[in-house]
Amino acid sequence: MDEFAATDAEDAALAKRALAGDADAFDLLVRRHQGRIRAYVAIRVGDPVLADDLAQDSFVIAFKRLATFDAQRPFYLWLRGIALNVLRNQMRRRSEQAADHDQLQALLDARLDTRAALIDGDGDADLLARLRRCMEHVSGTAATTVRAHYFEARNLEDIARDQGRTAAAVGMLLMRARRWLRSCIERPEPRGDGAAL
Amino acid sequence: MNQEERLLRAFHLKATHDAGSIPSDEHRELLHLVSTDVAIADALADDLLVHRLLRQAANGVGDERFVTGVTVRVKSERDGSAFLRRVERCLPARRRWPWLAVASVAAAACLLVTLLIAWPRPASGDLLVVSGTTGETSISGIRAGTGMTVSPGAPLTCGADGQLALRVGDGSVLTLIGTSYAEVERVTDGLALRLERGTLTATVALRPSTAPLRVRTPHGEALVLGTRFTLTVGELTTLTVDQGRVRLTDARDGTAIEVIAGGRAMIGARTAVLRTHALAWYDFNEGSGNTVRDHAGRGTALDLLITDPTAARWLPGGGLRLERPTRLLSSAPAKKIAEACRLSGELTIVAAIEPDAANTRGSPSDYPKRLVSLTAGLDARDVSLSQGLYHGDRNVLDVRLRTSASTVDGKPSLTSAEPVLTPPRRLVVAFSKDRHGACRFHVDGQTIPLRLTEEQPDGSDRRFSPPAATQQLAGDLSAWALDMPLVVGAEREAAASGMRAWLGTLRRIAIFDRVLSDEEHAALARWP
Repeated sequence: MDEFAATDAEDAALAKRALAGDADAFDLLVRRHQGRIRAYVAIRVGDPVLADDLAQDSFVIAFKRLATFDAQRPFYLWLRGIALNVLRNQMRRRSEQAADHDQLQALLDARLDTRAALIDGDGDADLLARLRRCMEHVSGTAATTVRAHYFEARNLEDIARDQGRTAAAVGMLLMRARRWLRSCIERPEPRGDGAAL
Repeated sequence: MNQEERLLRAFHLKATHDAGSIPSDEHRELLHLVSTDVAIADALADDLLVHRLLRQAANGVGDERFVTGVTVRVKSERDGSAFLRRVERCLPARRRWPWLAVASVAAAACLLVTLLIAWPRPASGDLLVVSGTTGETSISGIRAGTGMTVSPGAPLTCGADGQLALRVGDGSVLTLIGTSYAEVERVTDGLALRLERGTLTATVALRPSTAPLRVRTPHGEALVLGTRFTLTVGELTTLTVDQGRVRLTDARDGTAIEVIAGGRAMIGARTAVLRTHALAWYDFNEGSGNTVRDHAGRGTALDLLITDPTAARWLPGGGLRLERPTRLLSSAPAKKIAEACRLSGELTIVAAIEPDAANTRGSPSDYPKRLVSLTAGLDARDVSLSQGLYHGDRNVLDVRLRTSASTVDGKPSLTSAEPVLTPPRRLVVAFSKDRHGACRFHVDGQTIPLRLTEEQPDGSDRRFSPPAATQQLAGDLSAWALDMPLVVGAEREAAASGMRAWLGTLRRIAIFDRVLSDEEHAALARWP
């Protein structure tokens, strides 16, 4: 059984211990929920470094407000509500600074929120963990391309040169790979061959 | 298109948008698809969701460090120790040690690091060292050499044939190219440079958000976390991003944009930026000769030749005064203007002028007096911006614009409701038409009412529509001819008597294939 598999009752007990001063208890709460909170923030904030900062902020605020946690409610939902407020404050700061607000990006961000909630919902949906599991089922050119673009930070033109394709073709390959990954992370267990993309 | 084709089209447009190179009509098409088709909006949102998850997965900040960072911050909140906040960046991966022992060991290590940092030299992550130099380069007035360390405040200069490469401790490389002047402002808590002029190319290693690379220019600031880009400073600051993202902030008003890979942005004086968007731009600053240069940022330069140089006088301080009938004729057909406007369906002509009183004393048939035209002759034109009406008011602004619904001479025309060209007066006039047919006049940046003007059967009187801030013209610009020259100051075939010649001072003429915003009109409304 997963050491960090969270149950609401265990979370409530850990929160109570953390409130009493047990640092290890809060440490365990962070470990149990960091994946979901980081994913929750990351898909709403484009910058991954900023996403981690905001996710850390959420846990620190949760620690400060631990006394307000209602043990009758799931700890994850309470924590996610804090993350949502952290995100809103960040968006407000950004909108005060940003010019040329991209209407298209605003539409997509709003839609993304709805779509993400369909997966996340109230269930145990560790999106990053699911993504990593699904990545194991992607092979061949698709896997190479995804790894090169995201994990080696190579641009489309570089990859295209290596593969003897156009940058547009590489872009379409990445798009198909992302579509497959999207359908995969929605399922509890990955299935199908991600190489046939 | 069936739904799958629409979806593929949407993905293709999104890819172009993300590359920073999407044309405005395709951007509108994409926006329309996303805002009207839920399935497409969902598909693009899902794609964005996975994209961001992949970036997060590739972020490189491990789970362990994240957890440790949180718990250290929590501990420092609890015991009020601000010092412990600095430990978060130094802690190794968690071992099965007691928490206090871990923090103590790391705190001691960080104390040592802190003392070293406090020593008067740059933090090791932002040590700048010359890694290569060619041609004429110097640091603080001393010829640059490989291995030299660059300290804050040191001016860096590069000659026309020079290149000066600096390596940062984290592996980033910054290179000055050609005639450039820069200064290192700061090397701790981030790296800050000021690029006063010239070109800087950089490949920047991924940096924490608390210690970015900042490059300030006279026009604003570029904020870099990890990317490859080129920054050029002259009249404008131009940023081109090859990889990653750079945030560019305009110093005039603090507005910021993020430029992504493949994108380009410019900041600087609004008129300088507008000039890069113009199809034709004349400043009349030559001071001598019979050629007026086109300084527009688009297409091949369409210079104007003064037909009779003795009839015009260059003014000290700028401007060309047309004192007797003559005309300025483009050296080639104004194809770049006609093609672009046919495509966009939009047009703006701006002219900074000072009409001469002589314009009000002509024979009634000697009007309209032609100021700026794309014209083949008396009875055929794509557009004319003029003063006065045939046998009518002599001080109104009049525009004839050829559309698919007008005559080949651009009638019915549009006329200012008031006589705005009454001398003596310096003013900036503008005519614009958007793709939906809405036409406006601006004088000194403000809209003025205009009317539709139709010639009566006897040719002498005009029937006016009620004045309004906007008038609609039917048709589009698809009927524009591509072989008409740009003519300033008269009709194309002005006889020696100077038929319909306009007299006065020309200070600026600019032509765009789009409508301008109110801010852009205001920027151009200032007398140069």
